[in-house]
Amino acid sequence: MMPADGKLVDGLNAAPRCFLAAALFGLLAACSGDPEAGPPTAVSAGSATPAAVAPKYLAQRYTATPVVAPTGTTIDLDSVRLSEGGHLGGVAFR
Amino acid sequence: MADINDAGFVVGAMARWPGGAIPMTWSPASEELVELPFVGSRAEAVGVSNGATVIGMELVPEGSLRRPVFWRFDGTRHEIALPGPERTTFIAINRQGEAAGNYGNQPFVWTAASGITVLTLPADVTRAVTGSIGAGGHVVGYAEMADGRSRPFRWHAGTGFQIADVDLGSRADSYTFRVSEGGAVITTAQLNGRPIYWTADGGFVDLIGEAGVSGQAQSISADGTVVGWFKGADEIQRAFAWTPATGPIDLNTLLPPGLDLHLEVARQNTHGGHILAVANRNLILLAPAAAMPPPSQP
Repeated sequence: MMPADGKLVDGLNAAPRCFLAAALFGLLAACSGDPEAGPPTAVSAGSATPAAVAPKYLAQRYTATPVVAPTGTTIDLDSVRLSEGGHLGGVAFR
Repeated sequence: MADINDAGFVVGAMARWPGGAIPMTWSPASEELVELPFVGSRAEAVGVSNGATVIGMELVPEGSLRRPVFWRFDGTRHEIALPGPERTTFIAINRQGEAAGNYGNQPFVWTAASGITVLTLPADVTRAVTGSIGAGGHVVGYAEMADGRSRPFRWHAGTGFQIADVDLGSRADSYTFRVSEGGAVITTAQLNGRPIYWTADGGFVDLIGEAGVSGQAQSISADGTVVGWFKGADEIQRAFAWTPATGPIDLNTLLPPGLDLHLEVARQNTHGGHILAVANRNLILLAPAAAMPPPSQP
């Protein structure tokens, strides 16, 4: 499932591992690039809308959005980082 | 992938065979991967500030020495003057550009302007290991005491070392240590593994109380909201969030009704209220839905 205003870009060519970056309201992917396969090809942009600052309490409800790996890849869950500014970054293996 | 700053600037290392790892950055603005220059057989970037600083480690070709370095966003590489011959390792950098690491048995703090300052250990501490540095400049980790126990520590320029009266048991090196901007520390204590929250004024709080048999704290936001996981008597693992006001809340109870999802772990959270969780090996991003009615209302 993709965020409505985001788009997924599969930047993988022959690289064994990729860096994935996703905005909260968009999703980007960029490949680390295999030196034998030329430069990375991932080129796209989601709408990286920064998260609004919330007051100091838990939300009463949350929306849940799956983070989808680029086609043919698996996200290394331990590698993923969430930034204050509303981006995800991590590694996806193919 | 090692770190990401508020603007989405990613740093890490990319594998290259043969030849090892190459430090890299990736910018959402340019959508380009940039290899960082390095000396030695391999290197990695381990942290990035919101300013223009990337910290990393290089492996010197002759031998196994790892050397801390930093780069600017323009790609320039800078060596760091070391205080002596001890093994020196960067662990993390906060968004303000204050980094922390380990120099032999002692933590250190570093900025590009001031260089490395090695922290003097209290008399009853034989070794202290850095876990992270918070937005307020607090360095946290665990201290090995003269009596053989391991306890959480917090260091700040204003207060020096403070040792929490919590026994971490024998697995301190496997636990997460994080700190809020105000200095509240989270980690996991012994007693089957229980997530705890510690402040200098309030001592430590068992985050899951009677609701949980075991669990771990994974992340604390700048404002002090904690997330992690716990297991109850039924042995089912659940993601939780905690604030001083609410106590532990099973995040599964805050999802929209009818959603076929079981959150097992909450890994990270932000001051903005977003939470990164895992459900059945899938990453789930939770965002506050303020307009929705609270669970207790029809």
